[in-house]
Amino acid sequence: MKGRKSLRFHGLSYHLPLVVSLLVVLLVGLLGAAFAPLVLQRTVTSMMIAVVLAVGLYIFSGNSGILSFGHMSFMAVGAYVTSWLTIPANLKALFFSFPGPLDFLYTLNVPPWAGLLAGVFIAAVVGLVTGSILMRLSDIEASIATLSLLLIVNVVASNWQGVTQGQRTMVGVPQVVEIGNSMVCAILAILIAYLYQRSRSGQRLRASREDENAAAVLGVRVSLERLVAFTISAGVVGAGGVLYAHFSSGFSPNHFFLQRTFLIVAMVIVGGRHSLPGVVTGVFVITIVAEVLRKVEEGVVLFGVSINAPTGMGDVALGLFLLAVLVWRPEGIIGPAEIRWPSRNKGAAREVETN
Amino acid sequence: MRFVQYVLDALSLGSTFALAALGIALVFSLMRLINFAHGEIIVASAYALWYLRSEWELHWFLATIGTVSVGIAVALIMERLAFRPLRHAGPTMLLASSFAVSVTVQNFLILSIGDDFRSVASPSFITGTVTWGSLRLPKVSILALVVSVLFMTGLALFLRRTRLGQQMLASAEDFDMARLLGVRANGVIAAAFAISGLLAAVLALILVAQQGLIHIRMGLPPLLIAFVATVIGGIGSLPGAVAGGLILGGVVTALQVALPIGLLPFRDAFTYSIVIVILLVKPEGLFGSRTRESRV
Repeated sequence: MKGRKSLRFHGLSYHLPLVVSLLVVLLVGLLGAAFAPLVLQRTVTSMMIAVVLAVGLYIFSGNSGILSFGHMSFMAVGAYVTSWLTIPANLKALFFSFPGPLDFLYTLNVPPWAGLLAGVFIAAVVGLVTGSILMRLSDIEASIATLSLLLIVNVVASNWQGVTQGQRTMVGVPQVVEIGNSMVCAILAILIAYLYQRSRSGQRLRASREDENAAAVLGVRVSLERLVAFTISAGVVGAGGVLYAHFSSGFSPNHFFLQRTFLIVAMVIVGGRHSLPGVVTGVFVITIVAEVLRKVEEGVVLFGVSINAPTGMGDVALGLFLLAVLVWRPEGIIGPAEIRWPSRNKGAAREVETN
Repeated sequence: MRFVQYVLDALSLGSTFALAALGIALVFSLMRLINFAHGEIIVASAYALWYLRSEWELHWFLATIGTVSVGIAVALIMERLAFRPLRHAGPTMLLASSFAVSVTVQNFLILSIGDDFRSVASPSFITGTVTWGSLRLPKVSILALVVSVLFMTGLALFLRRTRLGQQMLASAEDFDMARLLGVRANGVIAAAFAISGLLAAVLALILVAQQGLIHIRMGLPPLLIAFVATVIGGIGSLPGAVAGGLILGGVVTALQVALPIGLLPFRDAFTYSIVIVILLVKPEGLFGSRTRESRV
């Protein structure tokens, strides 16, 4: 896929996908921190968290070509792990009844950054374990299996009263996430995604995405590479869950279920699911669209006409928006190829068209 | 005797699962589309039933016909507006687009109807239970079993005995070849959607008769069960979908009986784990063929 010229030239142009993604995140983050009013600051922060989640999903789905509907399970893992670790001890005794081996959690109390590390680690471990089963599948079967994973995690989280508080809202997690630290996490997630896709494993996986059989014949152990990507992406999505726990004033299992899955999958698809800047673009486009729609739902005055759409209109429009993108730009707004300088783009574009 | 009771329970449950799975499998066999929005057809039909029965106070027979028409219409509209333009997308993108259709329709329904519970009174001849010795069966379960078997037989006859049915089977086997031989793609796919809409509406009737309640999210549990059932049977295989539904009925009944009280809330987690196990042992499902796998 990569032109020989760009392989030799390791300058700015080679790393353009990374540079563009980082610039967009930095620009929005810094502008938001400097100028945005308080409400908008929260929107920017949740946008950064969405970048972490979407980039996390992209590490697996974008590189492997298998759309996962199960990644919000890892978001849940991250969120719950950090709550077990960071909720103040006096509240913990009130909320939880841990089973024997987890007794130590009652007294343990760590700062949020340690919760982040633990959340990422546990989510990656869960990804490794579940992935070693799921990654033996391909295509649509794998997508359905990841959906089953989401369902299983949701059933467990909704019913394991003593440990997850079941359907009740989890409160008491220290609220420390704002634009600054969430932006740092978003940048880290993008860096990890970029390093992975440029790594040997990432390149092999992308080869298998284009043609699984051809890659296998050339010696790529497809399921192994998928497992590597699945584990890394589980860890990154877990980080998104940790951030979410320290950002939202409370959460319950339904925050990590189909609705969130739809939103994050939409972000990945709308921008262009096979490229990193595409995913980042998708996050921003969807966030802006959703925000505008919410404003319209609240009521706005445009050219002297007061528009007040009924509540729920936003979700309908969001679904239609995704459908429109799928119909008219199936490869997303950015398209299938990684961003290049325009002059170098022609060959790549033609190659894609003929595919 | 208790065992017979379990078998009857499992059959009644499994036949409704099979009905749900058939609707998914039929569309998949032709289009490689796993239709997430199938649940929304169920919900829309259920609301139509509520409207016809509780608002217009129609006779149950007319209301049934109305409900089924709505189910078919919704499925056909979905096909025409959303899935026809996407016909050449890959299975993954089709799945994502059906996800989008599902969210859109669901929120549209919330917007226009609301998300509160509605109740529909069942006609008196399906309330109550039949006792026979120590066996007890709710009349609704018997109805579900009979209706499901009727529709499955009807579908089988339709596919084997009619021209359109034969064309659908041929297209499921090899779409390009079928088109070369003169099968109209739009026709067979629309027919598949119409039948899946019909099955969804029948399932909605059964569900409302069983639960007496209608809710905007009532389509999700049967949809998820249907996914599991189609995967167990082999995605796209119609006998497989029926078998998968019946097996799941058995599994759910067995888990309900066998699980200790403490684990009972986690029953569905066990049910969904079965999909993963089946996929690992036989990725093509029990009745699936390996022909979809390209040869190296």
